[in-house]
Amino acid sequence: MEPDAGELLARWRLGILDAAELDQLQRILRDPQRAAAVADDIRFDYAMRDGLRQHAASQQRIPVWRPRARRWWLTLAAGIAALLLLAIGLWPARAAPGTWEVATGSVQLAGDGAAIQQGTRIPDGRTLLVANGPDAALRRSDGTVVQVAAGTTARLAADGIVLRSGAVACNVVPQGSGGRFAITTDRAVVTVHGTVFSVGADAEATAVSVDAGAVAVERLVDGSAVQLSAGRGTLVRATGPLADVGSAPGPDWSDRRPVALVRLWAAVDTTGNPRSYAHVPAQTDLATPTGRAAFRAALADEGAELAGRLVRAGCQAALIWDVEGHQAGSIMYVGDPTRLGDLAPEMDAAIDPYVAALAAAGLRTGVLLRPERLERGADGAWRQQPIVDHGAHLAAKAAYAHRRWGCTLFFLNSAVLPGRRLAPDAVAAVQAAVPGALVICEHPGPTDWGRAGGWSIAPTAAMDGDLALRHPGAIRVVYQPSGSERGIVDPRHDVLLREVADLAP
Amino acid sequence: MSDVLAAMSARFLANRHELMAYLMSLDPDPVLAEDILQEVWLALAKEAAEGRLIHQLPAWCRAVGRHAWIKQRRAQRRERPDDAAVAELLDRAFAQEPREPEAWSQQLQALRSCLERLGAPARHLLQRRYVDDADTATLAGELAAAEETVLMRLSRVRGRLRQCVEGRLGGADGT
Repeated sequence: MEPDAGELLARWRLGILDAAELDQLQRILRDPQRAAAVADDIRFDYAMRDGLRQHAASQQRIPVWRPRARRWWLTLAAGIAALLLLAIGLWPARAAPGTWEVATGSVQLAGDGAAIQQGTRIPDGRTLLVANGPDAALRRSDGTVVQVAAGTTARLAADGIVLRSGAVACNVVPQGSGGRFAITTDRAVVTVHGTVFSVGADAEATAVSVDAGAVAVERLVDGSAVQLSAGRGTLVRATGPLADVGSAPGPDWSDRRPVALVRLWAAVDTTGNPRSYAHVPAQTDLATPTGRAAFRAALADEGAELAGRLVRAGCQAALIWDVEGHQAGSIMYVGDPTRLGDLAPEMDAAIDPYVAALAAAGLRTGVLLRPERLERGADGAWRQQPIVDHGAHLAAKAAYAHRRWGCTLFFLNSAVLPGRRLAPDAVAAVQAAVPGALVICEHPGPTDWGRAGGWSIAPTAAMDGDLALRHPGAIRVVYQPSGSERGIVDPRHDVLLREVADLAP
Repeated sequence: MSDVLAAMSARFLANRHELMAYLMSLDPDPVLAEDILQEVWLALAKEAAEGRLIHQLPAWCRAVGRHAWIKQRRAQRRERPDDAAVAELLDRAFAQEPREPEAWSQQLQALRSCLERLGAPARHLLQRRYVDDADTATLAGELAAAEETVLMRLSRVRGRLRQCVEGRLGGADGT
């Protein structure tokens, strides 16, 4: 290596180059021949370090990693015993007090994708990825348990977890005097002392909600902070106030009549009907004007007939699950009616009279909304992008459905979110966009109960006692499959109706 | 692990020395370099999850690593105006004659063998400087020598080691 180039580069790394030296370094690197020689020397130095450590390891002398002084002419502090070298990590990783192991599921280690299975200790300081699939749970040696949602990347830190993206739900044992457990994201630090809470993070925002206990949330960029107790949450964005969001009484939920869940998709021949819609007349090609006109007429008739059946069954509303149809090969339950024209032009041209017939019969109408951003990739495929700060997206979709069809009922499909937890302000955002809207949350968080109805698949109307105590205004929405597309035939239906009626205030 | 990710991980692992050498040219902190290495793999996993293959993997890895390093420096408020420019120039330097995994493997083997042939004092000096990060003043104190003497000895030992490695790679004993 040209001594000048090597010394200049070393000084650049230390940040002690003056302007003339910087210019000299850049001139060297712009000369292809000299730059190649510099790269070659860098490679040799790296290889030398690697060889020296391997040699030391082979002599059973554990290499010592010392903290590097910022000013090179100062002496270094006493050494720190290093960890054994990892397969991919050529250098010792940062040590973390408290050991972690995988309690359930499995995680992958970033860098080589090695899978760590249940019951196995996780190497200190490594970044983890929970691949798409079941959630995983990690257990720390003090008994703290952290559920890690599929698709999450996180790093185990000395006093908690650095959450890169995705979501975690934590059950933290009391840390005692001086103890600390924290979840750190790009935007915020959430510090707890023994509680149950959830944190979701992406590049734009961090969402925190507390089920039990208390947490402190601090925004890293400016130090603004908020204390959250059980049933409260906050959304940390780059700017703006840190709101303390809690559950609050929502619109009038006293109408306990059933809500019909309506599916427009059916398992039919998709020839000429690419979105697999039901009610398409046989041999109809929805790509043609004639086909679309026939579909529109058939759907209008179906709307009128359905309205009559739902009124006779005593329903208060019709919730359309899949107005965008089944997008072949990619997305089911799109949850974005604003994209109907792009995704299903044949339905875009046919749906209005169908919904109008339901509304004319006195039924509320509603649609499923998905808390993700639908995007078209360079390959032309549509993909749903999870976003933490999805309140505004949901509000825009709800406002569209309200403007076009008069919808005042919305199902928020939170199953698609990491951790299945909506942003603390999501329901409020929808209700601000459509005042008086009834909102059903598939997985209600501590800030949703009372403001919205919580979806439940358990075949009983009774409210969980603990839930009722923690959230006195909580409303539960019980899903009961009918077993038939053409009528309500499940024998539990009448029993359930009576239970719900008995519980009504 | 999906097939796409498994295939890309294998290529990533095979090229990790080239990437680590580049990362350590930006910052001598080996722990930071390891962190960034993991960041790059995570970005790779994301591409694989969306079915996207990366064809120029070493160049892509260096670009992702460079951005991660700049982001880290920005977060720590250590970013300098010339960081991106010099990092880009170093990337071009690496791109000129990239070293293939096989060549890395040969060099590493040759180097380990040559290190064994070095005398213990010479090896110790290199260890203290390049692994323990001891500065010249500290080494001068340990060796009871002037700093210029330490620098000369380091240069000489490093030169001998390099000659030995080149000799081995060239098929002759260079020591």
